Amino acid sequence: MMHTQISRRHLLRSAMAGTAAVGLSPWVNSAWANPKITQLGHAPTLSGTEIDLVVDETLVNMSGKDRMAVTINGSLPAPTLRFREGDTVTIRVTNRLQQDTSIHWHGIILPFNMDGVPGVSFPGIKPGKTFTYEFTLEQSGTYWYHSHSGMQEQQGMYGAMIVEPAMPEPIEFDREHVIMLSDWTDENPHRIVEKLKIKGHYYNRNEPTVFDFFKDVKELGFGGAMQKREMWNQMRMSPTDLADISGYTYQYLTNGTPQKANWTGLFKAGETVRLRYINSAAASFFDVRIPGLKMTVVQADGQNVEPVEVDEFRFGPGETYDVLVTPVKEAYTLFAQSIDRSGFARGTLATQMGMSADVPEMDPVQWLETQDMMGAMNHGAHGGHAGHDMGGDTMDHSAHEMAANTQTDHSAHGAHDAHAGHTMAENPLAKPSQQVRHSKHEYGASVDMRVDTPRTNLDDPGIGLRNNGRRVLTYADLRTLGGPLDPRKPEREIELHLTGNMHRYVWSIDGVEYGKSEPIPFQFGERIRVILHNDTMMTHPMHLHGMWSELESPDGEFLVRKHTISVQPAQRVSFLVTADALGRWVWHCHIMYHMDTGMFREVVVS
Amino acid sequence: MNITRRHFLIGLSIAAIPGLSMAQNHGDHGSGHNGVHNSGHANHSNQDMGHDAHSNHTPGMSHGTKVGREGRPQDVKQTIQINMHDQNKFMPNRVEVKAGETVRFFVRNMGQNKHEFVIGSQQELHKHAQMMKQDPNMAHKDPNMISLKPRQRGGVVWHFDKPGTYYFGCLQPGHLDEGMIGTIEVK
Ligand SMILES: [Cu+2]
Ligand SMILES: [Cu+2]
Repeated sequence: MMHTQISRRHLLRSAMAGTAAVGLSPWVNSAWANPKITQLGHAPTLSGTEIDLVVDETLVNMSGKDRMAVTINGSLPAPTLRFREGDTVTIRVTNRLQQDTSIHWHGIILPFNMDGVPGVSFPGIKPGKTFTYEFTLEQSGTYWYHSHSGMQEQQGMYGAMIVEPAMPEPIEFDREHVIMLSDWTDENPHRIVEKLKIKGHYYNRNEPTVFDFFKDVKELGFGGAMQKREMWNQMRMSPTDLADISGYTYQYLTNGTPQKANWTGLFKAGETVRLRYINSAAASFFDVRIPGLKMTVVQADGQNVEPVEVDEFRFGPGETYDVLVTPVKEAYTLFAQSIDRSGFARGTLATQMGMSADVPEMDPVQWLETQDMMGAMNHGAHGGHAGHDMGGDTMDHSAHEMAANTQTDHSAHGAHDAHAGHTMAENPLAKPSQQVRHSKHEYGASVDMRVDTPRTNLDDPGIGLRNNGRRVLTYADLRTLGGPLDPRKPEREIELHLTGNMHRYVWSIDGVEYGKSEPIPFQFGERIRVILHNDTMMTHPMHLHGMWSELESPDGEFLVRKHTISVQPAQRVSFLVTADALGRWVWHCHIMYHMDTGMFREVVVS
Repeated sequence: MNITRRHFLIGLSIAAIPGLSMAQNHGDHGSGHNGVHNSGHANHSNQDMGHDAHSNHTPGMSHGTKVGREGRPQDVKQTIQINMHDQNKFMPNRVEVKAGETVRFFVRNMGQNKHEFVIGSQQELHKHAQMMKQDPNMAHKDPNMISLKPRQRGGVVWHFDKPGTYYFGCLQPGHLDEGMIGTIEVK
């Protein structure tokens, strides 16, 4: 049904080259004599309650170069697992690599020792060994699974997991396709980390040049242009820091196939087609649309939501959205541009194989705007600045002081102070606290930026999608059907700041990298509010294992149940967690390179 | 998108299931301040607010109790998990607590029906169950209880002063009569 003929042909050629392929890959140590060829774009479906998965290195050729991928059952993406809610499943995972491996079942509620995080849930799976996972599925929806070891996820080790609901589903459709988007690099992912550590902007080719400067001089005058430069320099950031690794190393894949392969999913005219979009990229946010089709979002992170009709949505690594479309023409392009506009993943929805529709131009690159760096600072003063650029007239000198700004003037922001005189009838935790509390560790070398006036609104689609003339999904649009999993209000509140130093390429939580951190304690049975406050200029998809994250509005109203919550630059969001799962869990940014360099914490529920 | 719209009618009707009203925040006073970063709110203490103070919030009627009082989450010494099943029973249905200690009952609805966990004396529970029979859709919410839709979980933080035998029951019509009641031995 799905074709990847071009890459097939490439692969055949590679295969014929035989042993010559050995050694071509600079980043694989294993000594395979006859490398197996990876099956691309045709993830087989495995169902039932007993599954065998084998992790191995297999050959791929995405761009003319032979490389070794880390795959499951020789397929990229890995097989689609189809289970039934309520079933107890046994999954045997055999490691044929020469390094440890693991599988994490992303978004699945299970016992902590089945969660698959080496060093926390279990020791990992040694070369040659088999580990048996066993758990009962107490949920339904679209999920996925991936390696939690080294850089194996970047190297191709991810697949979809679909859990059919035990009860009839409110979503009706005639046909479905999994659309798994990811990023692929021919480079050694470990080498990428080294390069990023040397220079955080290594892959950011949208950095302003001297020509941009002269253009600015023309537009803003010399003073304005200087001011613009100076501000960025002061903050040691680049105005286009949207993704730290870009299309200059990445190819963006649709179901494991590059653009030219044009992965195609079929439909018959008049059918309602369910597309299960999964972002399994190591580091890329995608802006997804299907020109000519409205998408009705029906599920977010596997949980049914009130239907919302949109033209486009953005999602980060780890997130999933299920959409319904009703195509009538012969072909449509499945278009997903990366957040930094360095490239796009492409596929086609068509009535027969071999068809294609127009592929749109990518949108222009945008610089981060004031609200992405300073949050709500300029609200009021410049009112309605959503569409503003970093133009000279919106420049605020206070930006220069941002990094040096200490906890001076916080009382002014403490809206809750007004509560002091209230009667006991008002729960002080009814709404998330707005008082910014930077940890003392945020004043060290690991942190190059702090936001004192975050924005809390959830109706901003984010940089590059604002006012683009299309209806773009935002978190403010999402409502999980049936309400929260726990009707309680929070019993306490914790605040975590997402922090980093772009130039040193270290990422952290509250200024503390994982290696130096202590686990976060949760008390079994409690209902906790977690405030995530982003003190960086990048969007971080934060994934808590083992327990649901129930996102709330700035007023404390329940919105949507998710497993991965993307926090935009200078944004402050909050969600409620019921600590209903004993054991050791982890909480991390799902951008592999941020996780790997420190934006990762252990959470202990006891 | 007419076709799709139609497909959604079922979904929407599920969203409209009654019970969402239970999530309203009136009368919800339990508030801890033992966060990693302490909440900057004024240090409310709810020690002095017995459940009686809530009665005026409850539009229906109070199912409060004279047995102990609402506890503060930061004082919790013991957490007891109690599962509620559609066979109209609690698992476990007998628990032990030390007098003077604050306990969290962490309650999960394992079934497909709505269930409740309400602390009280046997007399109070039967009286309240009777009221519920007369008006099954009565809105009720007090600190000594949690009402859970299928698959929901929640909790009650309670402080028992005096030794004695107390009870927890489900006030959904008929459930108490069928044995959906458990004992709390306070020693
Ligand atoms: Cu991150
Ligand atoms: Cu009951």
